[in-house]
Amino acid sequence: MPVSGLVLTLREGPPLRQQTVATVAAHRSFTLGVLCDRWLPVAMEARDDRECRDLHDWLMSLPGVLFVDVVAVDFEPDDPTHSTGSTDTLAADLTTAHRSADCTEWASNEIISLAGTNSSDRS
Amino acid sequence: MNPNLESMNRRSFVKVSALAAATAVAQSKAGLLTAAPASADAGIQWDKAPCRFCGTGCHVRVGVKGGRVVAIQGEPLAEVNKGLLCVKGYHVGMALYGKDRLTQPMLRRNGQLEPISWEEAVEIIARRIMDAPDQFGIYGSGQWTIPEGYAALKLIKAGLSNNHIDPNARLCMASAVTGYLSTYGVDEPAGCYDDLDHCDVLILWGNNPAEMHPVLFSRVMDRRSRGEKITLIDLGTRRTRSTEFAQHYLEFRPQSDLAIANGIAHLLLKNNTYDKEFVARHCNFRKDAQPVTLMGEPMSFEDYAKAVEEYTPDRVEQISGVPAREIRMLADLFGRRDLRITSLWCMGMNQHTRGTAINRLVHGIHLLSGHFGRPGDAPTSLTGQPSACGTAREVGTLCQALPGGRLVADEKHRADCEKRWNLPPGRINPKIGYHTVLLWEKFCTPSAKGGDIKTMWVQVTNPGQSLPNLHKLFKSKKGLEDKFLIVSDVYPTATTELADLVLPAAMWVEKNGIYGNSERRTQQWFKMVEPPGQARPDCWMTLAVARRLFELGHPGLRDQDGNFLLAVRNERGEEIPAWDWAHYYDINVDRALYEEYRPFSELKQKNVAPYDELVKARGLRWPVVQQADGSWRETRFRFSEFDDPFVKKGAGIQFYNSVTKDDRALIWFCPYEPADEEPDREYPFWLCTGRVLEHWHTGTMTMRIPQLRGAMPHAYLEMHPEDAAAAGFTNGESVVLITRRGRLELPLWLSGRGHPPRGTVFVPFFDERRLINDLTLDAIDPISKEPDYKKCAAQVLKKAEAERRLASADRS
Repeated sequence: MPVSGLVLTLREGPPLRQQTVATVAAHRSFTLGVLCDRWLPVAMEARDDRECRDLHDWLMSLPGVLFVDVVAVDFEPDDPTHSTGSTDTLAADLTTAHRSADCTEWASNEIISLAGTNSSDRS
Repeated sequence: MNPNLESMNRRSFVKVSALAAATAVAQSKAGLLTAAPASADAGIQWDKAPCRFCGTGCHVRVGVKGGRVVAIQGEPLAEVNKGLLCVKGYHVGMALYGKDRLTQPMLRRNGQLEPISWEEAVEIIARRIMDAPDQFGIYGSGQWTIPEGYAALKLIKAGLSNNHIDPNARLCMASAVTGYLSTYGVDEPAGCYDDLDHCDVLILWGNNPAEMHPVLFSRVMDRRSRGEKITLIDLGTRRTRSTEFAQHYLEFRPQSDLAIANGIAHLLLKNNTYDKEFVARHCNFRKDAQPVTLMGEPMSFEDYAKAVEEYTPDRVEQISGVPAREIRMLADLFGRRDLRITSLWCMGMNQHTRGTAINRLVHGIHLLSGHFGRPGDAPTSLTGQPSACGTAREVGTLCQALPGGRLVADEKHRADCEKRWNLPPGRINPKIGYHTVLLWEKFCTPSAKGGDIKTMWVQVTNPGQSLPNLHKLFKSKKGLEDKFLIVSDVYPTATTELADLVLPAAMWVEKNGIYGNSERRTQQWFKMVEPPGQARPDCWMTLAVARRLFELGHPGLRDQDGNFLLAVRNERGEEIPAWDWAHYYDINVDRALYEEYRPFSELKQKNVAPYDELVKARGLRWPVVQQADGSWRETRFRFSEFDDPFVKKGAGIQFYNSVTKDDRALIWFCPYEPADEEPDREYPFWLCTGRVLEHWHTGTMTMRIPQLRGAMPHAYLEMHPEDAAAAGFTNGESVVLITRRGRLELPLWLSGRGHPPRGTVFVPFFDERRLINDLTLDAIDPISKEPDYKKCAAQVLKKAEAERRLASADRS
């Protein structure tokens, strides 16, 4: 389960700010730190990378959130005997690519727009 | 440890740690942070390191547990990134753990790579060099650590009297080097990232920092979020993520940036808004000689004014497509002394057959307008690799260079190096070596046809994917029986595919290291985890081969007293056999080699900090000089009296490395000229290549990080929807991109992240399954020798049509 440290930059206006803090605090995936001026430190816990992105998008959709910066990521597996799931497949895929420059089949939905990243460039 | 924390489970610790890191950054942003965040984590050891990826030089906190990197945090105490990281940075630790790490040396026998011992590998390399030392080349990297680059340079230039060494940095920032050298007489930016905190106007010259240097870009956007007014001007050949934040987007025809810069200069003179006092006190004028040379020939102010006269706004509009009113807007901004203007550029200006020229021109309009030397007033190039500045430029691993800004072609510089290295006079070869394109051309040409590089050692880079025109410059090595390719790397790559000998390398925090970033900041880190299997540091490999050459009797590996040239000595002067792996870590080899290199940096006032000061800091920007109280002080703004200790009192600004030896910089005139290959009836599109946010360069590391690969799994072809409609293409369709050098099947992405204008297509180069550099042009800038990856002519066909034409061509 990925754990990330995020910093939310909140928009101006005390009522909106309080409402945003309350909304995030009520979500089970977030643990809040102490608000520092306009910046709210948050720990985010997700089931997998997909949920990380979904949660990130949800934060960005809140009217009181201006930016979301990711500042820490823990990727130690819960079970240390298992490393990150798809790495073996990736390695095999890339190693195969060295033997053949042929294009593999591609579907347009494989290009995933960036989400869940440093999003100060997205607002 | 706090007893309450002891009782928490691991996940709770991880959450506490993540929250502590976030709190530290929030406090830093609010101006409240006074100390490093607490690291009360269950068994996790934290240490500092610069990020492994780009040239920004962000610092990370690396969390190690059980001998593995398990967590990454942005370093709140680092001035560069203030606790932030980009998507690549916070996954950097995972780059170590791809399952196909190279773990043992392998020799190709009967077409297959087979495991061999390190002793055999070292012996093979040494014998190849002994056989033909003048036909041996080293192709290195802006990812070499400073000691790695220094050792390789010393081996080949001082030991083998052979200057055939060049870094991949030739492909990304050589034009910036020649721009700085021919303007100021010395390389690297005068300003630093602090300029981003002070500028009123930020001009992006073919630059997309929102994706390529996102932490720097967020630094600027952060100012905006605080209510500060910053005018962002994006000068580009296609819309990018950075464009979304710009008040002005000026789209120009590829190659025509020279006309725009000359147009600004024309208006500054015509409107009499140039800075007369600054120019009179601090500048001379210069133009290209014929044939072109690095330093050109003098011209008068009057001749300069006459030369830029033809670049009227209307004429510039005609050449570039940028409306005349926008050229006037730019000139009006430069004409205002109440504003502070920073120009940023990277590959757009450097990977350009007129790269040196456009670099000179952008420096020139800053000098002409006096927008120089105050915080926020700076022309600043950014680099793409973590030590392109530190290792390629400062150490001097370019084929024409010697350490600390010295040149192979300069007799005094050679003599100085020979003295410092205790070499007999004349040991260093006065003939400069082959630059990257020539080096590979010579390696891939049969010996009988003049291909006089027989053995090439590639370290820390992937030329089988990153060189231009790969069929010519890399793939044609195949079948050349007397050519021998040695590759040290961490993963199998497009380069190891043709390697005869593969060496498993340690990476990043698996070894000690020192990098130098884009703003002259030297950064140090210590080894934190063991490399896998038999992987070893590149620096050790170089020392081991050098020692074997010494044992085999190569005379160049002895100094003039007969001692081993690459001896590593402790503080008492005792030699430690670091070339013997069993003793490599008996001494801090990085410290020893760096301290040997450090005095070289003083000639051009690039004084790098002592190693022990780097250990304490999150990087220090040179020149770093010792104060009366014994402390060491870095320099943010070079050539400015208020900050640079080498500027004479009362001078204000002093270009103390001046080409003309009179403390003045040079304002150049360089005319616009068409590109080497432009679209025509047969190949109607401009092809531009580049990077994406999620992947770093050829993707060998980032494509092995599932989160990054998942976010951007494939290369693609960006095209304007109207061009696609005209050709009958649909989004997602597989199309075939063809240039005069090759063809490549790619999925089409319409209205994707970037938005090329009609007549232009874009393809990223990170995907080794789709090698776009099979298609790119190997034309180079005549001065910097840097290739142009940003423009060549291409056609795009439906797959069926491409196959039909190919079959038809085969029949004929």
